[in-house]
Amino acid sequence: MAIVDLTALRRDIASLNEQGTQGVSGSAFDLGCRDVDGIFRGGLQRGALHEVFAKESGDAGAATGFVLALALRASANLSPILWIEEDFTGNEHGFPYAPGLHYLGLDPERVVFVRCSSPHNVLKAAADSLGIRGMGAVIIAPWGHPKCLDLTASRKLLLSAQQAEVPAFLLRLGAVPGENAAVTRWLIRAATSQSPGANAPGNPVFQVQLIRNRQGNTGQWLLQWESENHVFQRIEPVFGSVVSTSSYGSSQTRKFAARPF
Amino acid sequence: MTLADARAQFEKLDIAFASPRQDSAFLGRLADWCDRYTPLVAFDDPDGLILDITGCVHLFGDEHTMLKDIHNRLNQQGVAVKSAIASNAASARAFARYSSGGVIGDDEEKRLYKLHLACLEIEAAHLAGLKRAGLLHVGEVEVLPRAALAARFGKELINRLDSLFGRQDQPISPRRIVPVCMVERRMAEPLVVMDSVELLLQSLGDELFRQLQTRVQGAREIEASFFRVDGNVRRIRIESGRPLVETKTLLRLLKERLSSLAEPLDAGYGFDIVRLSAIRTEQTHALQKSLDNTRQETEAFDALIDRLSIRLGSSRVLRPVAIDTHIPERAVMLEAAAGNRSDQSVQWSPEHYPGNPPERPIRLFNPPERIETTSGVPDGAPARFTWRRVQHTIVLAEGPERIAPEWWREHAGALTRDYYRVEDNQGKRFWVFREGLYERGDPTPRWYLHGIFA
Repeated sequence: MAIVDLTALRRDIASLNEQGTQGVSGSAFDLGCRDVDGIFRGGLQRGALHEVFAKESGDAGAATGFVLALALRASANLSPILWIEEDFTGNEHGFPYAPGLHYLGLDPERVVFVRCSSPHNVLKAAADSLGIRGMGAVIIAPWGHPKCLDLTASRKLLLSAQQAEVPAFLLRLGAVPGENAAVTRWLIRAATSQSPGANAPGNPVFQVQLIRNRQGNTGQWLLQWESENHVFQRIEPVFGSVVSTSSYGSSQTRKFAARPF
Repeated sequence: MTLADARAQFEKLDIAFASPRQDSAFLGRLADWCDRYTPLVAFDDPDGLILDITGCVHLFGDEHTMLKDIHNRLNQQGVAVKSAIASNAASARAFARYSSGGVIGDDEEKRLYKLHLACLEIEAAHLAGLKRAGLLHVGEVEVLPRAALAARFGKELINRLDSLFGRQDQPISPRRIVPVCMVERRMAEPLVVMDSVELLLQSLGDELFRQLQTRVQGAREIEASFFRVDGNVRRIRIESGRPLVETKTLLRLLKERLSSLAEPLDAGYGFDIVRLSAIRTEQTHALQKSLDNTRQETEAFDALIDRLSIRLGSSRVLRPVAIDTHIPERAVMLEAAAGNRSDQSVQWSPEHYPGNPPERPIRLFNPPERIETTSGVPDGAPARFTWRRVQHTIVLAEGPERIAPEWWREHAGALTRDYYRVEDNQGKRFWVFREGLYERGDPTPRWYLHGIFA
């Protein structure tokens, strides 16, 4: 007869619990970077609407990467991710490329792309998919400032995200930040990567500006995404020859830096 | 008779141009309509229809009533009909076209004997030959020795005779796929109100799924047909990723489809037949609800995919599949997410070492966009390039990654590409390539931007 090792079993269960609390725990998720996570009390809301903007049109890739990284942090392993995109976004900034997503740490088998011809369809599909329990994350990418994406529409998205506890990410390309119901709003621009040597570009680095945070303060950081273990890592900005001075120390940056937190 | 002659005789002559295309379109509509009598409807060139009514007659009482019904309804639509019901397609055609038609009973052979030879529809020369021999009717030819006939007038004549007398099986090819299972409701009074149509669909769905359940099957493809009193037939087809077993799901999908139709379903003067047919079915496995929520969650997700596929079209709800090729734009195929998942045997990025920066962009332009470049070294990465009227100064660059065209599929013009991963002074990362080898001497090689990195 097999003897059940009770202590070993307890240890197993304890370790399972620990795994559960990492990254995704119940109703909150974090970025895996202590400096940033500190300002969110109890982590970012999982069942909520988060909005990500690209600073310039050329930062579309960075914004897409950042959204994907957030979605990966917010969703449980192997859960499906729905990527709803308006056709125009793809035409303008290129279509999401599955091998590239894989390099950033997402298993493409988890993704389903939904292509919509109009922003109206995007919102309708998003509203439907946010009601599904067990959905890992929904990435919503309309183009520009569609009329139908107003305060009411974003509130609806937020509510359905809250009800089914599905993280929703609005990827806003070709748009400038405005008011809506999103609980966090991020402004992303690409930043100089840390070359692994041989003059090659390194892992993706984002200049991240948190410009709205319902849970607390805002801030800005330089974050690198490590696709291997799905964490953000803070990087100290290098003021040197590589970075043009104009991209730092602009009036807006100073304003944010001056905010106490 | 020429048109001028005809006009000379009848002053008030209506003239219409012949339009074979419109005629055949009309015949197609008629064939659709004839679906109400049997699912097996085939074209009978050039201007006829063949209905295989085996096993359908009892629904109308007997053959006479059925034929009368066909005539009445078609006459109401303003169509003059010649028809016959006989034991096989060839003989029915002969009777309909070369006699007064009607229901041909047990004396079919005797009546065939009396038909004119023209009903064999053989070559004019052969027909004339038979006439010269004093043969006028089918019966006179039928009794002659077959070998002699075949030698004189060809195999064709024998074939025609054989199929006419049912000695040779001549299958008809139905226009539509014959459904696995179908249920329908015929109304004495046409249905006009859409609400009652919905109720009807509900009860039809229950019936259909009850029938499918006895076979342990679920429907992957269902067609709802609405026969309007004025002869118009509307078909709405629904496909689903998982076999459907419930009326509730079916109705939800149907409603989704109905609301996204370009031309909405119009009851007009009312529907007199509503039918649900399962076109494609699949074995279902008895499902036990699992203790955890995973299965329910997967089911909810699959149902969502079905709903989105029906609303937006299945070509818009897509799942990536890795393809074994180095050509970037072909390395991923997008397949309809509603269908079955195809076998994934190819790895996404086999040569990637964990922790290394990404080698493929997050967004890919299709087609690649032209850029203007200035190179430092002629065969190296560009020093700066202009894309969409913005100049980017390259700080970091890695490459080239040389990707040769697949000679076994490209035409001769395809060129080798040298890919570079580059980063500009603001940290924007791009994937650019030069088309053609530098060594091959094109002094101004063309550069393209193929994707952007995160």
